[in-house]
Amino acid sequence: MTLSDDAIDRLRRCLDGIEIPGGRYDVRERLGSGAMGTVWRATDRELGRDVAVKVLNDAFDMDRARTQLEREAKTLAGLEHPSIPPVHDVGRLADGRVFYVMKCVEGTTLAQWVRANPAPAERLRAFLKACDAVAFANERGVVHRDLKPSNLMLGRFGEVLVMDWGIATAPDLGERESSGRPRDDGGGGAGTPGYRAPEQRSGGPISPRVDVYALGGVLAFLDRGVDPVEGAALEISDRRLRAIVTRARSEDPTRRYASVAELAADVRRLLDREPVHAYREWPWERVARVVARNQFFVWLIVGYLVLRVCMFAFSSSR
Amino acid sequence: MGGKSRALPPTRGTLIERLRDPATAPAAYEALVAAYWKPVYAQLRRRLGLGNEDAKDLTQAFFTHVVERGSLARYDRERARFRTWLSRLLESFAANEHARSQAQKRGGGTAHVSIDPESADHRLGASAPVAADEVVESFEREWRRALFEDALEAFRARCVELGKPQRFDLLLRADVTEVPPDGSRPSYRTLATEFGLELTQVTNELHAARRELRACVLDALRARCVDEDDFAHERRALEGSDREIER
Repeated sequence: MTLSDDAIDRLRRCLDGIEIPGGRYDVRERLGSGAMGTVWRATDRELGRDVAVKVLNDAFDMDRARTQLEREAKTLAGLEHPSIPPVHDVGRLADGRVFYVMKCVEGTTLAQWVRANPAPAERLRAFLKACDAVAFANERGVVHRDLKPSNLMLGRFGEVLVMDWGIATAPDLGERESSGRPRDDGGGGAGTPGYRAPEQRSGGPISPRVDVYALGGVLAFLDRGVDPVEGAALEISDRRLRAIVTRARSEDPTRRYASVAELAADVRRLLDREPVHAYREWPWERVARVVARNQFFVWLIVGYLVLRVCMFAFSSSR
Repeated sequence: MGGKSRALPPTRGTLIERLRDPATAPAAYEALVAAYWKPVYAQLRRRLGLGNEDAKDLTQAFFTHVVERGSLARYDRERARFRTWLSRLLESFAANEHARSQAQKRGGGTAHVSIDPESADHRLGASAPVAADEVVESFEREWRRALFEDALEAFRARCVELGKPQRFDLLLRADVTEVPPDGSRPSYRTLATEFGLELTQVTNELHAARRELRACVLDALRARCVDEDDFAHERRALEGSDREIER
């Protein structure tokens, strides 16, 4: 049997594609793949809109992966926030794999966005939007556990969306985990190197400070455009920003910000040129910051003084 | 194609390890030839505009060249994927053969080149020779064609073994058989009418067929890869998921 190029392309497509029973969703293209699942763009025929369908990859341990995806869908469904993509539907493919349907986010990841070299203040504002969503989830007992630039997306209207809640702790697991017992769902050691807190690496107790640690890594990435390395010195030129990142990424969880909201507050102070809690500034630094913050008045005073000197010089010369 | 069809033997350990071990080298050589015969044959035939028999002889000569000249020992997985490395080696081999045959045409050689009518017919029927700069792409196309052809053969055998030859025919009709340029692929309803099945039976059978074919494709792919890294890389390339993974 000799296959034509067209036949090979068709076979590749049909091997790669998924079929969702019921005929409501018309699967169109693969958007991306991760360790656990693949995201497809599909059209919801009933509502006439594009959606994203996340489906489990073939995994060695299907039961565990299925549980994780179902939990991710439930976790997301319980978090109604503008920066968390809403889940529309959950189901199973004909082969038993779980899928869920969510909002199709058009945009770029923070990792891609930073390559376009946005202004530092713009980066911090995007970071604050991500913090708002994570703080919202943390308050409801959900810890993301895998925050990194490629899981944060910038939408078409400048909104920031926190994606991939696949290994997040669900509220009903929070109490069990805070007791210090290791997780039994594959969560121990989960996360991404460089963004994974020490207690996560060792399978220790999970708390919102895990997300604080990861967001510290995101902040370092936003400054340098390079993923942070575990245990390596931070190469951040701005001392205040470096102090914030250092505190967020303390090895000892108790020395970190107690919550993402606290971290966000310090970043907001940095953005507004107010004293940040993580950094004790020298008197001249304080002066420089005050000057930078009140540039208009400083220039007004300088102008006034120059004018007075000129007037004095003019009157003396007469 | 090429008149040579060999079943892929079962493998144990990576292909490169088995080729380098004297105890397993003969069987591994058979596996290498079985996996790469078709793309190498097709490439030589197109590249040099050869007839069927000449291309077969040269294909055999190429594999002998790979093994006996110690080229395999020089393969470095850090520098290139096995398939890419093999296609470059093939191109170099083809260029040498081309230079040699040109020298013979000018009377510089002593070997006799057969120009029998059958071979000439084949040459006329062969595709246009491939330019050197298209070699890697062309080899990849032939490699993929051979992969899917072998997988389809394995799938056909599996269907026969399971007593479900209709499953194979259904897949063939749905995804493989060519349709006229102005026609469209048969719908599930058309297939149901043609095969005398319920609509749900068609969707179920096709789903099962694609899943089984996928397993056959992955088996055939594994037999062509030198180690697990190579397999993972080739699998991602085949599935189209080797672009930037962001989510």
